[in-house]
Amino acid sequence: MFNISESTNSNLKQWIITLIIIFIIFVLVLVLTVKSGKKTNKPRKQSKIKEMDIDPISLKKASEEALNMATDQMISKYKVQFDSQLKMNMLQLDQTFRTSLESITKEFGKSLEDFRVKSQKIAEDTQAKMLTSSTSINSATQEAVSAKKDEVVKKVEDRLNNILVSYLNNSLEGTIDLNDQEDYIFEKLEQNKAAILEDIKNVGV
Amino acid sequence: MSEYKLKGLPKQISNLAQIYQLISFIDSAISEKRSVEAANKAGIKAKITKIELPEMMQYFFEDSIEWNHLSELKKQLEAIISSSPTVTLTLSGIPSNKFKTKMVSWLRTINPFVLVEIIVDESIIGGVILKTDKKRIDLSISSVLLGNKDSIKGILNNV
Repeated sequence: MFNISESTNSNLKQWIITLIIIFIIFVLVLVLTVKSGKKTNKPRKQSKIKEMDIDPISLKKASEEALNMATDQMISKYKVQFDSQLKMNMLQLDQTFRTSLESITKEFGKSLEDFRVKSQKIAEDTQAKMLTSSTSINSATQEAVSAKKDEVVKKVEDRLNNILVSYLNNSLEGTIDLNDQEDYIFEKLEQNKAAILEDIKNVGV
Repeated sequence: MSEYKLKGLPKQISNLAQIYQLISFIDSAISEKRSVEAANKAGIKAKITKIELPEMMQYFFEDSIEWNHLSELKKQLEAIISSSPTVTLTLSGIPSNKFKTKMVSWLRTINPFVLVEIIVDESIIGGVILKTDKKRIDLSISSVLLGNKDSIKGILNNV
């Protein structure tokens, strides 16, 4: 855009200069025409004018035509220049646009790739964390379930034992005569004699 | 004057309470003898009455008894109190004398001076729990039943 403005201003200046030149030429032609008119006051020259039978209006018209022609030529010339400049600027603009587009596309592509890589990394990290969390949660859950199971089993076991012992106590209380246990007791004592001996042997008077 | 030396406690004497009873009897007998001797010295004619041995004493002295033996016995009984081991037996019911004597005899084969205390606890259902100063040996029926926890746990784990 800057190039176009600069080019347009330059053309405008050229145009103005051209118009000024045309105007100066026109003034010079006019002055020369007036001077030549004054000279016709001289008798010899006056006769020549008369001989030539030049019409001042025609001269003015011719001058105008000449001016118009020069103007048209200038216009054509600068139009061509303007078109050429415009084409060149358009090409430059197009080139700039293409370059910019490529650059933007490239930059955008790079940013997009960076974003994709970062997103992928974040996704992978998140997945890994989720996997770790999931594993630890599973492990913790299993441990908790196992602990709870053990606790429940222990409670049930203790209660069953208590129930069993209470039942046996109530059922057998006083019914098993000590004398009937004599053989059992002495058999057990004999089996554990070594352990008992350690504590009470060689102690005393 | 012969020396009196205990080779072991009689099987009928099992616990501390009996030992203290014996010492108490010996003290009163010695005291009576000293009183008679003091009276004799003072010119009062006094005679030591025949000592009626309690049943427990008969386990120590079979035929005759000498006064110095009583003093020696007392010293040895005091030594037993201070140094002999005590075994506490927990049984599910009150034992008969025969059973008790058999238990004491069995323990005295290990240490002839061991003292035996008997406790009754019906919750053990049967068997015996033997406790010394250092350890506790549970030979009761209830411990046998409670000892099968693993089998109960195994069944519960498979539920």
